[in-house]
Amino acid sequence: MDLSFLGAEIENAISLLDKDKLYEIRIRKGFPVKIYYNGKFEYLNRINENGIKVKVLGTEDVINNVIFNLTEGSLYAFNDDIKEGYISKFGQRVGIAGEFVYMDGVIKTVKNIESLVIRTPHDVYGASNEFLGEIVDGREVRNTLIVAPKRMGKTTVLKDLARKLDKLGKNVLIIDERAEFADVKGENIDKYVKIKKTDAFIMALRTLSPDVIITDELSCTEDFIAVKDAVLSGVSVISSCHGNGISDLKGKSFFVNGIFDRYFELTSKGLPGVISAVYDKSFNLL
Amino acid sequence: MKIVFGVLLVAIFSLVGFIMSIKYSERRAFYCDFYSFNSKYILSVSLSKDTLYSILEKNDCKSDFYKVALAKIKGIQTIKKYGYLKSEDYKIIDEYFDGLGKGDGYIEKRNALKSEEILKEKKKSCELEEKKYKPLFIKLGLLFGAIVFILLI
Repeated sequence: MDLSFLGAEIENAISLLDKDKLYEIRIRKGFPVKIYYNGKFEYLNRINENGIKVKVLGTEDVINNVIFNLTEGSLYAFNDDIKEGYISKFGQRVGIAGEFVYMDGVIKTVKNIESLVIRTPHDVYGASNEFLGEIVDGREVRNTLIVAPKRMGKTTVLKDLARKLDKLGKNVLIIDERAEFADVKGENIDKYVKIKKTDAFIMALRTLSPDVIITDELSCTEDFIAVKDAVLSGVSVISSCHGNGISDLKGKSFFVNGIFDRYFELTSKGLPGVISAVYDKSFNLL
Repeated sequence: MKIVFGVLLVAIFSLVGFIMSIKYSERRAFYCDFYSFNSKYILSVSLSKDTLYSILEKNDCKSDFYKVALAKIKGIQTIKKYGYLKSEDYKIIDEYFDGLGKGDGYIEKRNALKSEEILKEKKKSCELEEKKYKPLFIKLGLLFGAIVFILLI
């Protein structure tokens, strides 16, 4: 996990921690830096020159430095990401908050950035072991949706599933809208990176003939419709969606029913991707 | 023996002339790389959206422009001074890199197109200077060597 873009002060402070337990870093201008570490939020501390533990402060310079390092001083190259409220680099997604600039009713950019949320991805080989039996049925790969709140390991499971399906010889297409699957590679894996799902599904069906499409975070009706079209074209789709569970999912305004064969709910047990419930197409608990 | 000494003297002075003319070649090479970088930058902001660092790596620089640009991209304020660059050159460098990459694609392209004109002019004048002064310095060296030889014998 390369965290050098955070600058020496934060990187040094993090070097004192077990990176495997670090899931999130929150930098807010004028406030101490917080981390989601070992299942809870706490302050990030560094050791000062007198050997005393002090909180790392999120200053304007720290924020500007992180953005400079992430974009390599080339904001124009990331403006499409910035307009969506994040910067993606090194397989990490950094959420940004600040003042949004509109022009003709369209977001043009974000200025005066005051907060950064850095999510640190974890590769957990075997994270999808429990899922595989329900998803793969002989030669068939069931259309699957993983529903869980943040930090439950949805992306980690999807990454591991991609590797497993690759090993099974399936042609896997990863639609990686936010460049979070940078480290997932394989002889049967293709990737569309930084592309809207709606565009990607259309192109994929026309040109790549995948057996399985894996994509993270379905978040609007258009996403679900794109998945539905793919499924109706004979391609299996495995994806995820934010929500506490099936009841939340069914209540979402953009949810489209009748696409997926399996729904997984996850629970927090300190490990990513712990299944709490599995449902079939008709939402019957299995 | 005298002839050998004379040839040696002329060769040494010609070499001195050549060394004195190198600065014109270096300045020309610097602006060639600078112009080429800017051209790639214009293409990048319009299409591929490569980062400044990536464009610089692809630029295949043959001069010190790489070191200067890298320092500027990294945000290093004080850059090494090169003898063949004049104060006006450093002014152009500072103005070019100040704020480079910090706007959106539209602003960046507009600024880069403005810079293109300036850099094109500079590149052209450096090429003319090199064409004019490089042979002149070598010839002067040769001539000076011959004069010194005549005076000595």
